[in-house]
Amino acid sequence: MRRVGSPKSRRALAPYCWVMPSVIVIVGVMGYAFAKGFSISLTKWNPFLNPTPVPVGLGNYVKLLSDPLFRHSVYVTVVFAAGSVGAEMLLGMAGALMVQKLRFLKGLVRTSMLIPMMLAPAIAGLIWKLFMDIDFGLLNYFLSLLGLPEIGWIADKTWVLPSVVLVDVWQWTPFVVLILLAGLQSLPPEPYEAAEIDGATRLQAFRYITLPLMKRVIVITLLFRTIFSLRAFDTIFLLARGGGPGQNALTLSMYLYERAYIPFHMGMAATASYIILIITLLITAVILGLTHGAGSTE
Amino acid sequence: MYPVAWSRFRKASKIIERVLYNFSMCLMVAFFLFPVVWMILTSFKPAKEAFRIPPSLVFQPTLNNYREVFGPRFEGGRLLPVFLPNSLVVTITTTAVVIVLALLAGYALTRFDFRGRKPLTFFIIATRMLPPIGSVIPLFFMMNDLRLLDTRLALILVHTALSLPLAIWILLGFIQGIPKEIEECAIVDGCSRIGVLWRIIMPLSAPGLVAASIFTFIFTWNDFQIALFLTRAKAKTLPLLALSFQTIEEGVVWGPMAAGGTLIMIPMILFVLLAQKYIIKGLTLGGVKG
Repeated sequence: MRRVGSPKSRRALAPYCWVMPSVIVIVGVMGYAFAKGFSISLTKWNPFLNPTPVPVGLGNYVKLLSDPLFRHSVYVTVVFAAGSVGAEMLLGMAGALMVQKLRFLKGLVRTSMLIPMMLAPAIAGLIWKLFMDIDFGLLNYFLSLLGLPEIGWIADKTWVLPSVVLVDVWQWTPFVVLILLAGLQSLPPEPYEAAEIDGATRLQAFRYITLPLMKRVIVITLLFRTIFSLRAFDTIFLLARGGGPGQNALTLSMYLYERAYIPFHMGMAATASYIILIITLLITAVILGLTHGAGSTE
Repeated sequence: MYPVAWSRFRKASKIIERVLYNFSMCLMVAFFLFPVVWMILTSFKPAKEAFRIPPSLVFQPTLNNYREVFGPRFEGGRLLPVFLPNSLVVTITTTAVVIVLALLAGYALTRFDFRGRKPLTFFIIATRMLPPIGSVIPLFFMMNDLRLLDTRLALILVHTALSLPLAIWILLGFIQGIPKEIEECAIVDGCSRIGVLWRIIMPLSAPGLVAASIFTFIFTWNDFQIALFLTRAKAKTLPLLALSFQTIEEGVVWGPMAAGGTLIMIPMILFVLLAQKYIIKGLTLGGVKG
């Protein structure tokens, strides 16, 4: 609907006036930042040693991609994201099915789950630091009660990554539970009634009714959790600063902070930002491709 | 004989199932709540109790840890005079600006028919996918250029840009749910667009406005990362306090750490308790709606 003519053309501009303030803020801040970031990523710049950036072309990108530690951090990030999102989706689905069946105290259970996800991730880091201390932490005390050997948690090379995954699972499983629960509650009752008449088991009903109907919600939840786990920073920063023992929790975001920002390799920091951005966009595109497939089956 | 045994078996397995179900439900709630409760408890423990293993559940509660957090030992006692006002100013300003802008944009994007509406909506929503950790270094350069590093204004600008997409998204869902006819009647009766927004859309989308403000408030209040990169001293916000409990002389100081953590999370817990209805609505709208 295009409107032409003088009194109407002024009205045709009106919608833009309503939207523009938001667009100006978003584009102004993010657009400026990313343009500036890209130009810096093509330079070598240490503000304390040389005040003017020295152009190096794509040198930073080549240098970064050939740095074994950077590749290690890509690997750590993928393991962290796959481990935490995988566990969150499985536990979240189980949790949502359980909460859906709940007859009493549903509200209370939901509240208890909102609390971890609404806490500052930095505070979640503090809480679990308290829990995971080798000598004074409750986790090792629980292990000793069960007669199991104590674990080094975030102070141990092999356990540091599972430990930060555990904290992520603690904080974000509730998100998956709440979203999937909303999805489950909006399912129509008819297919289940029909399945019961046909004598289907609950497992069959889940496999052949719930999963297909929930596909879209599941994929969207998966997308959100993946994107957000790729950008995880605060908890890892507090629990495994510097990448943790053996740098086994050195995610991309930690690499960016410790290896580029702190030593003031600004060109490298900007380059790492761009690579994180590209990886996120790629993964988003892949999962959105899946969503599209999922949407078309509906 | 057989059917009786069978029905007994069915009955027994039903009971076992119920017990298992209730047990795992309790386990789940404990898993999510206990760490938080434990930190709050620890914050009231005297120094010697905090380290005791097995942990003591009965102890003489003390406010010493809180006194210490506010004292000169952590961040030179600037928690109350500097960090808290910074957090409040940044969070409240951001929330107010985001809500006004998001309401205008959300209304125009649902109700006006104009060229580029769909791509614009998609663009705004898509910016939500930008990872802050990827943006924070470019933002650092930007604020350095503008001489805004270590100012509240920088934090407000960045948080407004980061929170707008989600707020607009939530509001889109709510405004779409308001029947168009009401507005048309008002316009026929001579009400202006702004009047419609003020008298009809705002009251009717109130739950959406509440949900959007809550999310903006929570994300801004909780932010650690942006503040870590963009502030140095005078614009530091409360979550950065989390860094100061690892001391060289004593290692981690548990008591004050628990107290500081509790202080920062109390407003969020209150929020959850008071406004959980809106939070869940906003979450499911923002998360489920494709």
